[in-house]
Amino acid sequence: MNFVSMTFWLALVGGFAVLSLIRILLGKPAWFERTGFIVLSLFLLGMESVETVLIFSWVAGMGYLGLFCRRKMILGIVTPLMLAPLAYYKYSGFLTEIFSGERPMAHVLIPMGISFYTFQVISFVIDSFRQEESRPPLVDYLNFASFFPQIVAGPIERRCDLLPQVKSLRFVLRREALEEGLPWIVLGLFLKLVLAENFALLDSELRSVAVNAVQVWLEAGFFAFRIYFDFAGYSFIALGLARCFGIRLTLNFESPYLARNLQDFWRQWHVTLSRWFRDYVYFPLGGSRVKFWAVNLIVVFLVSGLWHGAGWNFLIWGGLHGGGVWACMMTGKHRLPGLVSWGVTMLFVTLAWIFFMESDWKVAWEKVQMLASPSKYQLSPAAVLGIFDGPKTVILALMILALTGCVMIGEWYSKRSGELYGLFRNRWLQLALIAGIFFLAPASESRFIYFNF
Amino acid sequence: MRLTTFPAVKGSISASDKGSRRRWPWYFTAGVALLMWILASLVSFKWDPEAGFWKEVIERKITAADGLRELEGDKPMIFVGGGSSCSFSIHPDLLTEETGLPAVNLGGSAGMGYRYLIDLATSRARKGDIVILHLEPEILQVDEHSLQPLAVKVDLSRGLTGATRGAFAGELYQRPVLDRLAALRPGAKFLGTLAAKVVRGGPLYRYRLEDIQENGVLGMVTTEPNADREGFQSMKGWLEDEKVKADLKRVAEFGEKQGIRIFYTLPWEVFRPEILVAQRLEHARALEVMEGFLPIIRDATMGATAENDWFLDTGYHMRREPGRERTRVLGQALKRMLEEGL
Repeated sequence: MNFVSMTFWLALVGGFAVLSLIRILLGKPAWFERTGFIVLSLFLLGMESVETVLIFSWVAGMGYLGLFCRRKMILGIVTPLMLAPLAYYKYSGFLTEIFSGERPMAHVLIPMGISFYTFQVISFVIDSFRQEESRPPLVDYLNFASFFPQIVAGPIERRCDLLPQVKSLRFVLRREALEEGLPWIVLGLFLKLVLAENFALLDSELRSVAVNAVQVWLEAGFFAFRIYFDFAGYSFIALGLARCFGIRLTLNFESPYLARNLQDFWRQWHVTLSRWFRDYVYFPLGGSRVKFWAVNLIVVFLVSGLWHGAGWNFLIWGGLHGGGVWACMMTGKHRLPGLVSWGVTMLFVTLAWIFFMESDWKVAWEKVQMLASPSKYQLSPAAVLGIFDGPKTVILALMILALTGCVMIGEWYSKRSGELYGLFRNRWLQLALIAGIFFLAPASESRFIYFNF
Repeated sequence: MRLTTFPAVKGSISASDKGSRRRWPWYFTAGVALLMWILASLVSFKWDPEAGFWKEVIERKITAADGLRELEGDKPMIFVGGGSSCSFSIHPDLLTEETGLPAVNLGGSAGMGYRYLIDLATSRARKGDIVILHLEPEILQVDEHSLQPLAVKVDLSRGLTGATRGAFAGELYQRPVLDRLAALRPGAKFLGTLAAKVVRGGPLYRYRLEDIQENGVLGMVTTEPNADREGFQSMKGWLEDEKVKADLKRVAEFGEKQGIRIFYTLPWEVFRPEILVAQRLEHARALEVMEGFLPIIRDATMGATAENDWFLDTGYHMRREPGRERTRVLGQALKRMLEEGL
């Protein structure tokens, strides 16, 4: 379910058209309104592979079974069964590496969306139990678990937010809903195709081995923007698609790169995942009310790191952020001036991304060491230009960095105006974004980074 | 203090998303998108000097191949295909001199992707002919099933007539038209470079038609070769992709079915002296895999040399004399194989 592939959009339009025709031929029965979405969602998921649908069905099935169980059963049997595919597909290679010292070469591919829908279904079961909510009809539960805009990469929605909405789903496209969703889709496509993809292109056209520390800064900076535009772009397309069908999903990003400290950063980056870890890991550990709250905090971030990927590098990345947030909390009363605070936060986040982008933590560590070594800095214009694969790449870098600057200023302006990303949904600016998508996006086919998680 | 400082999340639906602003009607948005798509495709298609150059190169080569076929009648022919390493380094007249068979260089550019290049190389071959795939390891390293914009543009500018009725013709043309149109988007790099070149007033593309020399071999007669390149890194892990292997299997089956003998040979590439031996060992490993699909025309270099002066602007584009030497070596090896009945 790749929102930037033509195949996805053709399948969506085709699938929706065929199902709409069936709905009309059947005389628009009430039962079809919500069932139609399940069929459409599973059809779109099935385009990835049959295995993807089967694994999803297992997780969703176990989740529904969990609604019939008592607490001990949920914790002892159902949750582990729901987590089993995730453990096998995502972590078995890493566990083998830990115990045998070698990572298996031909490791299984991680099924699309498994980390996201598994967490969403687990939260559904736990919330249902905790709040003693009634068991919803199967059709509503399946729509909650499989709603196609957010099944593969979030947002990870909660029962109280999404379930009431899917109960009133209608298998129709209303003009007002469509016009509300389209600006988000356009913005998402622009961020993904124009910015994230060009940053990916830039990264691939730097020298293959960094000998100048300036290159490491550039690689980390490019990756920082790339991953943000990639995931935020996906999230906005998901949000827009859902709106087209009258569903309001959570805004998963709230201009995180404008944050002035790490706590704010994590309030604004992948909002629904932060909330999940807060409610289902941090609070059950005792939250901030226990003596060893700092340990809890670090544990949450380590688990969050592992959620992003099975590898030491992700663990280090999570640990760094945990330590960073802890440091922020400890120095809370001694805030730096706004701009300095923002600069320090961006610096920390960018440095930490090095451990995220390098799958081998030793390579990442070498890069960090390089950054700390003054002799590795070659600042002459020739040395800096030599990092790029020719003048074409330099021109591209200048264009994309200028565009990124404009987007950041636009985010800042929107936030000040009290409407996140509001400027980009201005109807005149939307025309410019559309032109950008077709003129500035690289022609190569692409996928979203977060599909790997 | 602590309770509030852990990353807390606001209400699930952002209050700032009012959804009350004025919007374009959906059909207006869709119309603008369609118009932009058409405009962008036209810009990319009409003003891409690279596509224009390679279209002309391929047209000339195909015309030459068809002319030679007419001249030679039923005599078996040799077609050599590959990326620009082939276009720059393989001199068909020397292949003919060594083997006695008429030969054509049907090389294109690596940017077209290996499927298009193999398709092109096999497109003119008939029963009894020989096709030599002189493909760069880089393009056999990854699955290139995705459409290559350069190939789409060249193909479209040739009126979709198909250089391509070779090993992959069926699949190349099964891709949805919209996918192919999507591949026509120009992109920031293309537009930025084009604008810079127009402002600077220099040539729009590195190579010009004047660079096409005798027998369709490319040289660099119009611009100074740039020797400052980074083509010295070790290249590992090619021919490991399962989809690439599946494609090679199809090529072998195509050759068998059509009665065409298809060989693979490594282009010569320059590497740093200290990694030369390791690179040759790596190539030897990959050639063992390749041998499971296609017979190999080998030579002592194993596709790796340390002679930087033999090359022009990239570590693959050979100068005239070294290129002729490379072709001689290829021709002699092929002749030996043919004599041995392979």
